[in-house]
Formats: sequence, C-alpha cells, structure tokens
Amino acid sequence: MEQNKLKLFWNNLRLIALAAMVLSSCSNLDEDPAEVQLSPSTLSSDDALEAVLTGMYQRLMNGAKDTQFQIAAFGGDDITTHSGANKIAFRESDWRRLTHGSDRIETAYKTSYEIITLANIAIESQSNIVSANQDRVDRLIGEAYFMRGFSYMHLTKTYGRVPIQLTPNSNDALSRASYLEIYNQIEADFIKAEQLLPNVFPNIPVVGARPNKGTAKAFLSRLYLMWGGYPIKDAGKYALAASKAKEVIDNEGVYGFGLSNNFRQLWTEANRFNQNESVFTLVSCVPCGVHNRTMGRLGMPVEAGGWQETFSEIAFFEDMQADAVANGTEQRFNDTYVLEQIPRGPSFPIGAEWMTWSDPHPLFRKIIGGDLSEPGTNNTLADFNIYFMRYAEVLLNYAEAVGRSGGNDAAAWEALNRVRTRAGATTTLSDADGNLADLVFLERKWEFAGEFLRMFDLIRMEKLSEAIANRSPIETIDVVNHIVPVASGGEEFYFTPIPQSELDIFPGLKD
Amino acid sequence: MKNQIKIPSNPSYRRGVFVFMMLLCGTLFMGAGYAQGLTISGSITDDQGELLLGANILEKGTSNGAVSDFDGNYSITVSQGAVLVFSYVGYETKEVVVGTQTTINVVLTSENTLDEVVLVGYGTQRKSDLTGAISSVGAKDFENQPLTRAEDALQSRTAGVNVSKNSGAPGGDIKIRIRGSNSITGDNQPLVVIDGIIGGDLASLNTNDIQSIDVLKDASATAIYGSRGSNGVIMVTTKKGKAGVPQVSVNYFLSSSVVPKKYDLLSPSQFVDLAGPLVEIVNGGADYQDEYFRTAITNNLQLTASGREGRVNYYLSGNLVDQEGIVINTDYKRYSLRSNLNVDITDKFKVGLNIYGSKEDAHNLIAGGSRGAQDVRGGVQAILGWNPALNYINADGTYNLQSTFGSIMINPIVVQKERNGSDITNNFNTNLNLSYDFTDQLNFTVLAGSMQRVINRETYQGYPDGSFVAPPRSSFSAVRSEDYQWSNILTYSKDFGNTHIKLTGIYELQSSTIRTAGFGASNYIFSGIPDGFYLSELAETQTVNANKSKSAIDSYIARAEVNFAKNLYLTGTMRIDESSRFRKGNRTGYFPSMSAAYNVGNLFLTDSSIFDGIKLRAGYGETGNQNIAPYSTFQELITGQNFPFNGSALDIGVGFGGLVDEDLTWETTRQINAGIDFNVFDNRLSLSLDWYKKNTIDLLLEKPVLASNGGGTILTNIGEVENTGIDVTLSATVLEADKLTWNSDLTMSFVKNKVLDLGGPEQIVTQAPFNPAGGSSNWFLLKVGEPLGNFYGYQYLGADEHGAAMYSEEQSIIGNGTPNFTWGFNNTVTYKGWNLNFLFRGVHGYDVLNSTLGIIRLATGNITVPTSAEILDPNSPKTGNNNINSTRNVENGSFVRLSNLSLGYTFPSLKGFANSLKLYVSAQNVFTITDYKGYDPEVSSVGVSTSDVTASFDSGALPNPRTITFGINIDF
Repeated sequence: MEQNKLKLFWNNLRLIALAAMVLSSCSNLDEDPAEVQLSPSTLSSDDALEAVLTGMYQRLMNGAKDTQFQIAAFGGDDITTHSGANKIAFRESDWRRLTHGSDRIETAYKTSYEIITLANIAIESQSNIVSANQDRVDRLIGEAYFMRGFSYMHLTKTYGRVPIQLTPNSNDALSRASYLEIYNQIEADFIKAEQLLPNVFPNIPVVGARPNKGTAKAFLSRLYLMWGGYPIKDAGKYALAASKAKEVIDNEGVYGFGLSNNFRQLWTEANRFNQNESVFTLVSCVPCGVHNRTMGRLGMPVEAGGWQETFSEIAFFEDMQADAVANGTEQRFNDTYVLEQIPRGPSFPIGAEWMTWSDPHPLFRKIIGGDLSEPGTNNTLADFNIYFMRYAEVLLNYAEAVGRSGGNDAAAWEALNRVRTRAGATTTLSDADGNLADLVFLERKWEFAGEFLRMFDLIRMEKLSEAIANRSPIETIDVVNHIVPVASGGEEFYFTPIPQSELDIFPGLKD
Repeated sequence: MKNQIKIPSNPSYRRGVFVFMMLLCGTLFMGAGYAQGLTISGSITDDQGELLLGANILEKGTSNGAVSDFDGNYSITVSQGAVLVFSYVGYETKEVVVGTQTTINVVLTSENTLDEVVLVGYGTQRKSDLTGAISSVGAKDFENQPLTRAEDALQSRTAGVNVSKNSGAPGGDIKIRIRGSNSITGDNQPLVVIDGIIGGDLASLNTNDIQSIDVLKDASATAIYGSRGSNGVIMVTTKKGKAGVPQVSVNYFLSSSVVPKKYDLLSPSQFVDLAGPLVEIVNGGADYQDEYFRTAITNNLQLTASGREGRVNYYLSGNLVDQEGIVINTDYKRYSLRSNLNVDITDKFKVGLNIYGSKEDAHNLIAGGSRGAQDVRGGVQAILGWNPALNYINADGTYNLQSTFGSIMINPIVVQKERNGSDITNNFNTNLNLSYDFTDQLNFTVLAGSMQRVINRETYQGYPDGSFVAPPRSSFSAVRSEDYQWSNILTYSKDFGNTHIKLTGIYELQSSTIRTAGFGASNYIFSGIPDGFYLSELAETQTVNANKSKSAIDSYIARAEVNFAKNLYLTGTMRIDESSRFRKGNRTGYFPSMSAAYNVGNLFLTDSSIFDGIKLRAGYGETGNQNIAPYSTFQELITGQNFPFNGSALDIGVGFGGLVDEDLTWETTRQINAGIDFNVFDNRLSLSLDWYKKNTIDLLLEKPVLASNGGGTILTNIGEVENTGIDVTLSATVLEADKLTWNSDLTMSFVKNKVLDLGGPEQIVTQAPFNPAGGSSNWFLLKVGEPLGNFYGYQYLGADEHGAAMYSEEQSIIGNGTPNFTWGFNNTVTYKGWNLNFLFRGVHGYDVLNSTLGIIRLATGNITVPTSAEILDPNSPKTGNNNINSTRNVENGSFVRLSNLSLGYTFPSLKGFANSLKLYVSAQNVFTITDYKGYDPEVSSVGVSTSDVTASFDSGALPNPRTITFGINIDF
C-alpha cells in the first residue's frame, strides 16, 4: 500500500512538474516607459509647456554662466585676457586666431542649439496643448519663439553662417544657411514673439528676467541694426531698426523699462532686482546651484587671488578716460573700472596701479562687481545678473538707426542724451556736435565697455581692423605663445570657426 | 588527516569497487601459490596526503596483484625487476620499477586535471569530452594566493581572459574582457552565472566558497546563453560538503598595503622659486602624496563547516573582510554567510537550496573606484597638482582651502578628510534546485533563483570638491534590484552501443526590476554640523529623484550532444531569446551553434608514444548583446532641468533626452573557434591551443549627433568589429620527485582587434570621459581598419627656443590603449610541507594616455603652475599650450609584474588540536617592470563595462597597492 501511495505521489509530481513548465507562461515583454519617464507626447498642458521653457533657461544658464559663451566678444577692442594657463582660447579670440580645434568654442554653439531643440519641441507641441488659459499658452509659445530667435542671433553673431534646424526629432545633416536665411529666420521668430508675448511678463522678480513684447521689439531693433551692416549691409533695415526701437521707447512705461539712476549698482548682487534696465537678463540663485561664473575673481589679477580671465585692453582704458574727462562722464568711467584698492590678498593691489602687475591690465568693475565687499566679488561664482540687453541699448539702437537711415530728429538726440546724462555728461549733444550715427557709435563704445557687445558693433561697421590697429604699444606681447594678432581678413576674421567636434560628425559644415 | 581514510561516497561506485576488490583478492589468492622472490610493502596516499584504501597493485604483465588495506598499506611479493602498477579509480595510474628496495610508498594524483567535470551552461561535461573553448580554474589553483575578490582568482590563470584591476580602491570595479572587446559603446563585461543563476555579482562573493570557475570563451560554448553570451560567460560553482567526517576550517590573513610608487614633484622651495614672489611657504608646506596615501591594513577571516550526513550534504561558511584603502579615509568591509544544502529525498529526487547573504560597506568609494573624488579634477589629480608650499592645515588647525598657484581645486586633503560616504550593499540570493530522474535516461530539473540587492549610497561632503568654496552637501540614493529566474531543464541521455547521446531542452523566464530613489541636500541653515548626512532636513536646498526600470527575457533552448565511441564529439545548441528591451518585431533573437571534437590521437598513438592524447576541436556560434538600458527605444523629456526664475528657488524644468532609434535590436557576435589539445609524457605536459575569429555586427553604437539636431549621441545598430586571437594554455609538471613537485601553468593570449565598419563614416572622434583640464576632450578615435582605443591628438615636437611647447598642426592617431598580448605564468613548488607559489603576469602592446602626469608638467586649465619636478629639466618646456592629447603624454604601458609570491608551510597534524595547519607569508604586486612613468600602468580612469573606446586613460586613477600578507589556515 505504502508503495502504491508513493508511486501515486511521484506520478503526481511528474504532472506537477510538467504543469510548471506549461503554466509558467510568457512574460509581458512590452515596455511601459510612461510609468517612469516623460514622453514628448505628454506635452499637452500649459504646465508641461512651462516646464519645457524652464528647461530652456536652464540650458541657457548652463552655457552663459561661463565666459566662453561670449568667446567671440573677446575680439572687441574693449576686452582682453591673460596670456597663459587656460586662457589661451580667449587670447586666440582676442587676436582673431581661433581655429576649429580651439578650446572653449563649443559652448556657445552647443548651448544655442540645445535651446533651439527645446524651442522646436515646444513650438511643434502648441496644437496639442489643451488649456483654459490661452493667454498663458500664447505667452509661453511666444517665449519659445523668442528663445529660438535669441539663440540663432547668438549663433550668427558668433559663428556667422550656421545650419537652421526647425524640426524636432530630425537627424539630417544640414548645411550652413546663408546670412539672409538666418536673419530672415530670426526676424520671423522675433515677430512671432512680439505678437504672442504680453506687455508685462507675470511673476518675475525683475523686468527682463523673461521677455515681454518690448523685449521682442528691442531684439528686432538690434537685428535690423545688424542687418544694415556687415555681412548683409541692407541699409534699408535701419529704418526698421529705428521704428522697432521707437515702439519700445514710446511705451517704456508699459513694458516697465527705464534707465537706472545708479549705473554701478547694476552689477551688484544686492541691487540685481532693484533696477528696470534689463531688457533681457538671466538671474542666478547661488544656493540653488545656479550661478554666474563670469564675474568676481574671474576679473581680478593674480595679485588679488584672481583668475585673470577678463581684463580691459589698455588703449581702450586710456581712450575712455580721455573721453570721460572731455565729456564729464568720469562717473561712468569710475563705474566701469576699478581704480581703488582691492581688499583681497595676497597683495591687496590698487586698481589704478595695474601697470605694475604681473599681467598689466586695467580691471573692469562690470566684471569684478559693483561692490567690492559683496560675496560674489570675492568668489568665482555669484548672483550677479547676466545682461543680454540693457535699455540703454534700445535708446542707442534707436538713435544710431535714425542716424544711419538719414534722419536727424530730436527724439533720436534725446535718446542719446539720456544715456550720456546718466553717465554724468555735463552737456547735451545736438547735430551741431557732429554726425548722429558716429556720435552714437562712439557712445555705445563707452556705455557697453566690457559687456561683450563692442565686438559686434565693430563687425557690423567693419571697424575691427581699425580697432586692432589702435592697440596700445604697451599692450602685453604674447611672450608665452609667440603669436601676434591677425589684423584683417574676411569671414574667418570676423567669426568663430565651427567647432571641430561638429566637423567630425559632418565635414560638410566646413563649406 | 593522516589517519583519515578516504572512502568513495557514491554507493554504486562503492559496490563496484567492492566487486573489483573481490575479484582482485581472488586473483591474489590464486596467484599466491606462485609467488616467488621479493616482498614489497608500503603505503598509498593521494596528493593531499590522504591514505587510499582499496587501491590496486598489480605486477605488470602478470595477474599477480594486491589491494591496499584500511590503513592504505599494502604488501605484495613480486619477481626481481618487476614493474608495479598502482591504480585507483579517479586517480592517475602510476608505474614503479622494483629495484632493491623493499618499501615503496606511492602518491597517486587525482585525475581531476585531466578529467574534471566542467560546467557548460545548464549542464556539465567531462573536460575530455569538451567541444568548445572553456577554461577552468579550481579552488586548488588559487589556494596559495590570499584573495579578497573572486576576480583575482581568474587573473592570468585563464588564457583569453584579461582581468584588469582598473583601480586600487578597495571595493572598486574590476574590468574583465574575454577574447577582446566586441562592442564599441555596449557593455563588454562578461556574463556571470553563479550556481546556474544568470547575472551574478563576483564582487560580493566569498572567495573561499568558490569550488570552481569555468569560463566559456567561444561562441559554441556561450551560445547557450544567447543574447547575453557575446562577452563570454563566467560560471561559478560554490562548494558542497564532502563525504567523511565533518570538516571545519578557519582561514585568516592580515595584509598590509602601500602605494607602490611616488611621483617626483617639486619641493616647497622649488615651487616657490618657480611660481614667483607671491607664493610663500606656509606651515612648512606639505608632501601631498604622503598626506594622501597611507599604509593600509586588511583583515580577512573565513570560516567553513561542511560534510555529509546520510542523505544531507551541507556546506556552511562565513566571511569577514575588513580592508583599508591606501587613500586616507577609505575602506571596505564585507560580511557574508552561506548555506549550501543538498538533500537526496529519494534516489531519484534531489533538492538543493543555496542561500547567500552578504553586506558590503564601501567607505568613500567614488565612481566604482575609477577616481578619488567626485570632481574629475580632484583626488589624485589635485594631490599631485596642489601647491606644495601651502600646507593643507595651519598651526592653529584651520584649513588652507584654496591656492591660485598649482591646482585651483579645493584642497584635496581637506576634501578627503571631511567627507563621509558609504555605499552599503545588501545581497540576498537564494537558489532552489529540484531534480527528478524519471528514468535513468530522463531527468527534469527546475532551477529557481532570486537575487535581491539593495544599495544605499550616503554621502556627506563637508568641503565639496570643486574650484570654489561651496557649502557642505549630502546626497542619498537607494537602489533596489530584484532578479528572478525560472529555468525548466529536461535532459535525456542514452547510450546506443558505442554512441552516447544527450539531449537538453530548456524553457526559461527571467525578469529584473530596479527601483531607485534619492535626494540631494545643501545649504544647511547653520554651520558646524560635523557630519550632516542625517540632518539633511536642515538643508535649505533639497532635490529628489526616483526611477524604475523593468526588463524581462523569455528563452527557449535546445542542445544535443553526441559522442561516438569517445572519439568524435558533436554538440549543437539553439537558443531563442525574446527581450523586452527591444520593440515588437526586433525582440526575438536566434542564437545557434555547432561544434565538434575528435580524438585524433586514438587513431595512431600507441602506448609507447610520448603523446597520451591529441584532440582537435572546432566550433561556430552566434551570440548577442542586448545589454542596453530599458526604454532605450522611447524618446524622453529628461527631468532635473530646473531654473530659478525668481532668483531664490528652483522652478521645475524638463529637457531634451536625445534622439532614439526605435528599430534598435541585438548586437550579434559570430565566432569561429578551432583548437587542439595535447597531452604528453604521461600527461605531465598538456598544451591547449585555440584560434578564434569573432565578428560583431549591428554594433550598439552611440553615434554622435550634430548639435543642431539636439547633440549628444544616438544609440543605433551600425558597424562591425573583429577580434582574432590565439589562446595558449600550457600546464606542466616540471618536477615530480619523491617529495618535491613543481607545477607550472603558462597562459598566453594574443588578440587583434579591428573596426571593420562604422556605418558610413571612416572615423568617429570620441570624447574622453572627461578632460581634467576642462574644455574639449576629443582624445579618442574610432577608425575603420584600426583597433578600438586609439588616442587621437598631436605630435609633441619639443620646446622651441623660448621654451614653449610645440606640437604638430594636425591631429592623428598617437597611440592605442588596448593590449594585444597578455600572459600569466603560475608556479607551485611543494617540498614536504613547504609550498611556494609565484605568479608572473605580463600585459603588452598598449599605450597609456598619462593625463595624470600631463596635467602637472605644464600649466593647464586647473593647474596654473606645474608641480612636476620635470619642469626643472632644461629640456622641458616652460610655457605654451599643454595639450594633454599629445605624444608627450602617451607612454608604453606594457608591463611584467610579479603578481603573487607566497611561501607556506603545512604542519601535517597537530594532535588534539587540528588536522592540519598552514602558515604562509605572501606578497602581491611585488614588483613591476615597466617604462610607464605613472603609478601603475594597469589602472584606468574609465568605468569598466564600456571603457573600450577610451581604454587606458590614466587621469588620477588610484594605483594598485603593493601588499604583504601573513596568513593561517587551520582544518579541524
């Protein structure tokens, strides 16, 4: 009996075993990514759209927090750098010797396209978005257009001709577009932004922290001003530049823009929100891990424990000083340069004694910070705003554009004089003092000294060779690398080469 | 041990021996009457010193014989000049010519080396029946080397298996490549199978639990693992209890480790001279290498108890490893327990349950040990580049955190002292094995395995590394992974006359789920918290993250093995895998293989030949690589792209997750293998030669994407890589005298790697994982016709008349980081109770990009004044660009190393205390012959799994220490 039971048991076991094989059925092999990740197709609400916009700013800050985002601007006659260590790429830009393989030239390129990629996703998603708040959707889509236009503008300012990609999810190898195609695209994006953005962008700590309608118009004025000069030289665009700038000026109260009455405080951490001059700016939050790394110790000499990244050129300093004395704008000159003692070791150097330092160059207060006692000034990261456009530029865009389009009206002179007066000028200018466009062009030189803008004025007016020829004879000779500046040239003289890493993927970008 | 008698445990086997003994006894009695002449006596023991009972002694050419008694003694009367043949089942037969001596003691060596059983995946084969290329390492092979890691046991003991200790950090990752690198961006680490369960973890194993490690190398062997077999398979078998009295053993060793070499750096005063008047010596300066490295102590204790009682066979073990790192404030602890139980419920039904639990605690281990700091510019890199004139500490106990001269990083000694991080890993693995013999031919086995792993990573940085002073921060991540496997194995095995057939069919389900969550915290509301991890709630800035991934594979497997008269062996396998990682239509892979072996020696070898056997093997198989992250074919908006619009708190943002290829599928490796095995001089010399050619197609390649299309890379199937090579294994008994034996094993691997196709472009420039100087790091080049791991950069042309470094205009291939020849030479000499082991290993034919030295020999991004003493050399450049990717920093990495040297003595028996006691002293990494200027040519700063494109990149990698060990092993 026992034997039989056992036999029965084993027979059953066989069945169980076989059943186990059959019953342990197939796994579910279809992945369900929605459980853990966001698909672009989830971009169907205004909140999701807002998150994409936030991501664009994160990318912009990730690039623009470092000076190399503005590497092209080192070609201007206002800014120079240290000769050695890791500053060689800045020096190469300063002396127009950048090559495809140079360091630091990828940041502006990659950052701009990262923003464009997200903008393309946001713009394409607009038809899917369901929201009760159409104003918010318009605002965000308008902002996406603005960010795309801003990025293409930064690309063409830096690299000249670049590919235009407007389609998300494409892996096509696109060739570089023509200047006209690029300018047309930027114009189209800014016009869309102008249509969709509100007069006042809500819930921001300071005007310009996110764009409003006035910001879009202001950038259009900059675009048209560029369009009138090199490389397209379509003088007909100056009138457009003037009219767009005028629309902003006439409605400055509506958009919330104005000139700050304390120039120096624009570059302090304490007053970063206590101003209305930022047409477009990036704000920081050091405790959040989001910070500006272009200022503070980056602009100090090694005698004050600095990183010697961004200095003033000597001739520029001397010329500005002479001009300030002549025009009574010493206040702006003193707000632009640090001449007093810097309260930092090892040597506690005096700013005015820059010629005695190991790397003799004057120091920009706009780089070091408006208040030498602030934490950001004494660090390599800070809460200073990163200004992409100040209202002073709108005023001067207007005045210059009027001048270049043959006008000479009182409003244009007034715009120029507002900037000069704030700078401390004791007299106002009028057409008796000279050519409007030339006077504005010179005023821009001093007003935006050290703000990574001068280079692009020199490019559009093709005055780069002239500026390089004006270098001070005591300007440091590069004994380290035994190279001298390139003095003239074509496209390659004005623009930064496409980074080698891109050419490695698609050699066609060389053309 | 001496008095212990070896009784074979298998009942049928015992029966057989008994019958055999009776027959022999019969012949003995019959022959007794004729016996004339000499009476010889003596004892018969095995190579472990155990007495053999029932061994046969036969006078050659006659029927005159004897059998050893219960004390292993025998006595036989033979004629003058006779030849005695000693034999014992499972042992090599030995012949001794009778001279004038009357006592002949014989040691028989077990046949294990010849005919051991080898794991082939879902089954076993006798080594002599193998058709594929499989290498085995048994516990005996590494018993003379103190080990804390299972990977060390494999190093240089198996041809075709290259084990590189990429880092000297305790608990660090170890890179293993079997027959070269197949994949460009996919994972190249081999599959680990422990007791049949796929996806095991070698790092957490107790080395003493390992019975054997079998490495499946060619595709005819690995194809049984299909989509996961292309990188080779490492199969580990853990120990089981042996018959006989219960065995208890205690093994303990104590090691002391030091950094093997120092860089020659500027002294404080030399640095002051170079850096200029703004630098002064503060608090005497410091030797940062001395401050950073230390003498590290390791304790390793292993306890085991095993045996067999009736139907129950048990093996129980515990292990404690307490290992200090040679870097201050780093260490590693491992605790483990194992219980392997096997129960024969009936003669037909067997149950096995293996349970293994371990806890590992790696203290301040960063990035798997590939570097010493969170910031890639920190750690060793910052130690070597830091201003030596400025001590890290002042006389008043305050820290000097920054210097504008030398490295601009936060002082790396302070960073290291003030960090507290723990990676705590808990493993709990269970493995149930049910086996039922329906008939003598038919067996059904169910293997059910579960691997549960939880890793908690806690970090606190009092002084976070970086180039600015940042407030303290903490972070946490928890990773819980669950793996389940259910294998149903049906085996049919039958003899048809001379022909033996074995058929195996398997249906297997596997699933894996990984859940992660974590937080980051910084900006504590007040300072002075010594270790703020457990007060992370006081941090104002808090971030969270969470993720989960699931994957599954369903498999159908079949294998047929045929053996014709022990001459011709054929094996064919087929595996069908369906993986969840690919989309429908791309998810099913078919992985076939065929292989054959032929004992050609049987055709013409005679007994008098010096050759004992010659076997030819050949095989072809296909395997796959499906090791991509789950959801790789789905586009994603990534999180964490936050921005503080209001200037005081982050708004949540999302970003572009990169382009994806929805049609992604397997990477497939096709491998052909041909081998020959020789046994010569009574099996005292055996030689195994294998040639192979592997072609990996449809490579899973991270192809760079233009910035204008979103940048980054897209994972896609393009291109082809080929590996060809030769594996040589030579085993010899160099000396076998009465009490002196010398065994040598030489393994050699030659591998040639070549990229055949990159899916269009002739070359792809690849970034180094990071550039310690900041900026672009396009330092590697994939190029059609060239091997993986090319360095891409400038020719260094020396210094010009101004002392500035000069380079070529154009970049080109300036070296290669993939070795093409590796070897190991392992020797064991025993004399009476003495045992001497030495293991030499060599790695040749590769270069190392020595970025560690490169960045300190001339001012660079983060090191404003060079610190290498080279700068004092008049020929050394003083200024100019410091291109890390130049021939100046490419060095020949080839090395020969005395990897292990140990001397031990075994006391045979300590009456009343222990059966045996072994004392030994040992040294690892004793010396290295190399031209490499860095700490260690073996280390690399790249993760181990996918480092093949950017191989041998030394950028602050932690060197392997030189270690001296004292150990004691006691068997009770």
